[in-house]
Amino acid sequence: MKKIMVVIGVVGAVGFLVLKEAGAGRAPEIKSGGLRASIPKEQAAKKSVLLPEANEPADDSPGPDLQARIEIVRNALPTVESIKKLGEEAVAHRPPKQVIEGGLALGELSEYLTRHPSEYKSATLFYAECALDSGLLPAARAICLKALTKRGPSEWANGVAGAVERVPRSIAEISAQL
Amino acid sequence: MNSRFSWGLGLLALGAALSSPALSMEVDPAVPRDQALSIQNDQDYLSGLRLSGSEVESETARLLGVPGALSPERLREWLNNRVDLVISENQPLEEAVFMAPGKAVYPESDVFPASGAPRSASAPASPSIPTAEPASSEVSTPIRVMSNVGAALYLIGKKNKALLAFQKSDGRVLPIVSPHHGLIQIGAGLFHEQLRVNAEAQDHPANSVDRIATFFHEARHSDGHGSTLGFLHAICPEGHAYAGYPACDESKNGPYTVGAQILKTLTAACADCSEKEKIALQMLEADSRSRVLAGAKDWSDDFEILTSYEAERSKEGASE
Repeated sequence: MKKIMVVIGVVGAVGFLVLKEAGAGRAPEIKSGGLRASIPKEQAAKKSVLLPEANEPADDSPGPDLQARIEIVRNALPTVESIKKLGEEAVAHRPPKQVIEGGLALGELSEYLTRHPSEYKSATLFYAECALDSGLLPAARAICLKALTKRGPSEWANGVAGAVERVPRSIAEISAQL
Repeated sequence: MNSRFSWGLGLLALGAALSSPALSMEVDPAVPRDQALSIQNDQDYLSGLRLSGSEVESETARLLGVPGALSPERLREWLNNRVDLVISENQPLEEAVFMAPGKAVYPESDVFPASGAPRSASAPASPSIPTAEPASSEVSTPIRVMSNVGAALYLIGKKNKALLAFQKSDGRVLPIVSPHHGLIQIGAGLFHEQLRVNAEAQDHPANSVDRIATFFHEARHSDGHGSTLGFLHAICPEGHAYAGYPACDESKNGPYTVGAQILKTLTAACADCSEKEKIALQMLEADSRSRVLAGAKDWSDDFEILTSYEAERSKEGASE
């Protein structure tokens, strides 16, 4: 069982990048009754860019529930590509709705992790991928980085510390101001 | 300030406009009742804010130029000093704005902001309309959230060396003698369910925090003079997420920073906001901060006031 979970966790991170490159601008599946998500079959057996050292302990990978929630957040995060399509009137002065949706999705994940603190370490894999993803709006990347730095390296999964060091300075500066 | 006015235009309550700022922002009667009530609710929320004297609040006070500790009163005062009137998107500016016949002299008359200036200086047409895109389909119609049309109208008047005035829905006239007397136009987007942090309740504290921050952002457009007049936005450079759009600031203390700092301050103080809502508000803050360009500098927040206005005597037959 643990091996399966490792695969899901590692693939989720790669799938995230693939999804964003494909310009996924899908609406989040957030319902008042809770969160729903499915893990695409094609996300099988891919290696994480976050964990080049590989063969990491299985404990760091997200469990199925967390993984499902992370998938929802991934789909809700605003991409640079999707924002470009909106046009001037939608972005001047005020964030477009995609930013609010992304923020709410990250907020739901944060609440879940507050209720399930033991899963935080696994979630740091997602937060690190998010902070590194240049296809995402800087605001989302800054929030993801904040989710890591507010707790610190001792609670991160393996590989996350190295990833955090690679986050561009511009994103780190925004995050530090929050 | 050496103001010299002719009072040929009985309509123009110039004296009132040049006097001390209003004690509170006035909401035009044409603003839909539910929107007006929400704005009142937001004002009440701001008044009842419980601040803690934190370092964040001190940063906010410094940014706003507020003396001493930040307080709800200071925040309201700052806002009210820059917003005189809130009008509805249903009030067509083409009908409500007119050019007063006569000669207007402006300070720094040949100095204008480098970017974001009105596209046409020939007529008091509708200024740029900041909007949001609330629909879920790919093809959607942007709707208005809020814009400081007072600053834009002042700029148009200055370009034309003319005095513009806005006629309120009750017939009273507000001469646009300074961008500091902000004329804020709001639209349905400010309250739209899809643009709310809390979709269920329009007047939930999380939504109040967001709307108040938007007001502060727009109120900052009431500041500045000459090349910094209106603290206008800059075109975001290549490589920026909003590249090509006038959605960035070259000022470190401009509208995006002000909005972000208010979000940070009010989010921290929001006892009734959930963790989810607080992170969504933080995302809005992050988005605003991402729009402040590298190398941005503090701009002077001194503001302009019309130097003088002399009405056309031949038409009005009046003297000073």
